[in-house]
Amino acid sequence: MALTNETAAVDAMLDAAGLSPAPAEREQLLQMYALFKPGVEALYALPEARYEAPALVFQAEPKLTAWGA
Amino acid sequence: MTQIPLTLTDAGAALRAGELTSVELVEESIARADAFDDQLGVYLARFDDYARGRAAQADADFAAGVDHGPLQGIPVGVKDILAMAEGPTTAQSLVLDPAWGEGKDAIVVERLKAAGAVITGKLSTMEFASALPDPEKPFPLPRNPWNTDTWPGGSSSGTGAGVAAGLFYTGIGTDTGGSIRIPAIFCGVSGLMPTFGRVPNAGCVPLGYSLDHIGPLARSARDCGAMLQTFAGADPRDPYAVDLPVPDFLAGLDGSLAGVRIGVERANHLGVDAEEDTAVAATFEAAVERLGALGATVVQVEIPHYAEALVAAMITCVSEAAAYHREDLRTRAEDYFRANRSMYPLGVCFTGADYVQAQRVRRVAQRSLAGVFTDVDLIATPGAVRVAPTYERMLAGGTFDILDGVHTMYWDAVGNPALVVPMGFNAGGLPLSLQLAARPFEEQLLVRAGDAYQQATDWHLRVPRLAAGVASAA
Repeated sequence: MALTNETAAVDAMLDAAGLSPAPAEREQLLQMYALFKPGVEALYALPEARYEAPALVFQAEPKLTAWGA
Repeated sequence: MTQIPLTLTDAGAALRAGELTSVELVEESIARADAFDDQLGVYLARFDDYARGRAAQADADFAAGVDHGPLQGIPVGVKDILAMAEGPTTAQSLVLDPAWGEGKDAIVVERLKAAGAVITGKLSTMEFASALPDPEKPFPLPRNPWNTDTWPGGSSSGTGAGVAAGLFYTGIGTDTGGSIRIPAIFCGVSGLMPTFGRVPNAGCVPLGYSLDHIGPLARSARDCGAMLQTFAGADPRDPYAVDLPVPDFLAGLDGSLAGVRIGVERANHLGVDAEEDTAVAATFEAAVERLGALGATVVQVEIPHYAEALVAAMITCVSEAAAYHREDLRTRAEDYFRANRSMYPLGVCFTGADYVQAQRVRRVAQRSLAGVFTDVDLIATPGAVRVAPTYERMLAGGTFDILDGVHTMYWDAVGNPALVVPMGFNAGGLPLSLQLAARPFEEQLLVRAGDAYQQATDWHLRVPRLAAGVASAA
């Protein structure tokens, strides 16, 4: 059942992104998704993360000169 | 070909003593490239004439008493995901716009040039620094000088193989999941991934924006320190580089580890991979014993949230890569390397919430690791528990099979600096490496510890038989 759900999820996300990998590549992608999906779910179950802020920083004033400009 | 010094440090001393010239070093590099590169696939582009001109300038500077530092006159390679005005950047891909970075230098390349380095060419990688080589694409397949049936590691493949075979003294690598350290491990050289933000990334084709690190590979830890000295430090053109003072990475290299507390991490590293090479555990324990003999206090530690951090890093990497590549994947997927055609779309299969949760877990991992670092100054692990795989094995196993045997990606997830140095060989004559990691922005201690270990051992001076005749073989 899980595999069916995972396959449906992957196909839906690929479709939404407009991606159509070849059958062999899709198969490999499904295997990788199945490998990582339980680990991703486990990230939500980590008690220490419940009130943690993400490792993301947004600066309102970029103070940057673009490289190559 | 002639006998020349093995390390950047010794070559620099010989240049300053007038015992050889930069032109001689560069001619030797060119001769070695002529001799070995067909077998090794190190270069994507060679700049022989440019390098000769730069070497002549370096010699003229020495003669005039002008010294720009330890890289002056030294042959250096640059991974071909960094822009350099002398040639196109391909990222070893058919996909990257040839006009990307055209006529420009990445910040680290600018700094190498200003330091008088002699850049000999652009080096092979994996496509966009990820996944696996693709024999069907029109690029060289990089080979390991220790056994050309095996892979040199990646993605900084050409840098690792080229340093090991003496095509240049040092080179630039990048590390998102281990791409400096894996080729250093498999090729038996030293590799230093600096703290995230220590080196500006601008001018480098991205893989994972919040994971990418630029750093050196070289024969020794001391050479890595010299190289890092030339290109560390903030730049207003880079949004991630951290504006902190850059210390002298070569200070205090007295060969002693007195007063240094080293935590040895076995729980997440040894005995967890069914394919662990039988030589790894004993070789690692011997290296740890050596660290203790150099004066370090050695204790056992366990890194919390290790597995969670690996998952967080992987989701981060594929998500950030998918954002960069999605539109090209829609319109020209067949131009990508085969393994990337599967790996990058994985990034659209996880959600935005998954990505943010991964960043929350990275913070958790950083905090718990900081707790470990209150009791120790360095953490020691094996860099990998497998040796360089054969091409046949690697291409059959897939991208994540390779990552099962290496222990690098955790440090990309948390951003701490990590150094790998050779610690021996397995029964098949392939290199094994010790990994040392430090608190953020304490690369200086890594260089000191790696240098102390290398003053007491000679693993880093072993040369592959392929290059025998130009230096002593292992």
